[in-house]
Amino acid sequence: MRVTDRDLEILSNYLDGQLDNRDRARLETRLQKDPDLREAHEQLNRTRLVLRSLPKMRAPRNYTLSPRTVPARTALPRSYPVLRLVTALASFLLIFTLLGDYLVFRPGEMVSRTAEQALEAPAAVMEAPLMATQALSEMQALEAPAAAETESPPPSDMLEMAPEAPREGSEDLEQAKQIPSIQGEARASVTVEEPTSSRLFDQGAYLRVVEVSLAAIAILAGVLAVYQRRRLRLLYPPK
Amino acid sequence: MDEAGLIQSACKGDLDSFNRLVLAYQDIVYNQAYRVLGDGPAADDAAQEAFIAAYQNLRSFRGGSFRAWLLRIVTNTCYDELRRRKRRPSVPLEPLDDAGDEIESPHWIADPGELPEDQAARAELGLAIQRCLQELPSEFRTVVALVDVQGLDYGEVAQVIGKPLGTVKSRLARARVRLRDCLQGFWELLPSAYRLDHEAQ
Repeated sequence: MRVTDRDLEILSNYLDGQLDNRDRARLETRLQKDPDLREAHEQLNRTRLVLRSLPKMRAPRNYTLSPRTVPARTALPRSYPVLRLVTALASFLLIFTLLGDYLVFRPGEMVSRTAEQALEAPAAVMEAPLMATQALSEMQALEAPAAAETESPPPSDMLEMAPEAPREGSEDLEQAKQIPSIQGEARASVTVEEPTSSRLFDQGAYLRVVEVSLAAIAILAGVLAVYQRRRLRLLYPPK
Repeated sequence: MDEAGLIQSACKGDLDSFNRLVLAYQDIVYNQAYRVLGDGPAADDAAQEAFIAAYQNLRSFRGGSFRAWLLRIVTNTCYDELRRRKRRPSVPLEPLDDAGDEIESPHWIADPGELPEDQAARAELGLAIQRCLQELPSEFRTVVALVDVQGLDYGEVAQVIGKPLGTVKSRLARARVRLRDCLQGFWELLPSAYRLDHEAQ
């Protein structure tokens, strides 16, 4: 029967007494029946014995250390590994935050989005006063002849027309009265848009604070770690 | 020798305590370095480096087997040396005898207690085994040296090489099989008395 690598490993374990009772009994039964396995066992055993017969060599000299030959204890302070870890972690988090910041608040998108919002909102606000001023100027134009009429009595044909004029003027006045409400609506629409941009602004600002803090921590911890290492080298220069 | 006490004193900077530990373990450390590197002077350097490293890092010893801890350090030192050799291969200079011939391995001959025939047989066997050991991959060589030369148990070997028990078993079995194949050609060269002596065991 062919001896497999697994059989050889079992034999090796068997030679060192590393098999449990069940496996050992099974192997011993196989060894009695299988001459190839028996041969492999004998060869491995012989190899093992030869290896174990190797003389124990004596060290050619003593390796004892003297204060002159032993380099001074160059152990770094206990805080050194902590500082290194903090530097690495802070740098790692900073990179992630910057990446996230870039992906969420892309500079191009941010500018165009805010610009659009900035343009849309004031446009509505700007239109309303324009309409209001136009209506007011018309009203003034209409009110002016009426004032003139009170000073000097108007001609009869003008008198016929007069009652209509205030009527038109009153329509415009109503329009003018309506203008502030339009302006108000525009303002309302702006205030509806405001929370999105302000939220984005808040998140952006928050991220900046986080980024600056992480960068500061990374730099501070890194500088401290480098300082500790330099200091040790100055005290115990390498030979 | 109160090993734990010596370690504790050495941790506090007592060099004498550490030197007592060195004297107790220097043969084991040198043997391991020699079996892995297969070269006396390199093993000598590796052993010295290992003890210096052990002294400097003694605080990192967390209890357990001090022998296994030291062997782990010397094994790593040997691996560093083997890597350095791979990067910068060099031809070692062998010492010469009176006739100007190379003495391949003077350490095998330097045993004043043996008869010349025994010395020759032992030297031959030793050379053959060492040559076969050198043909093994370094991780197999380390395991077989730790188990069969140093006599460590599997658990300690696992601690030294930092691998699970299964890896130790498999590497050891494969190393033994390779050594068996390598030594096939040398069986006939071995003195018969020597073979019978060991076969009787």
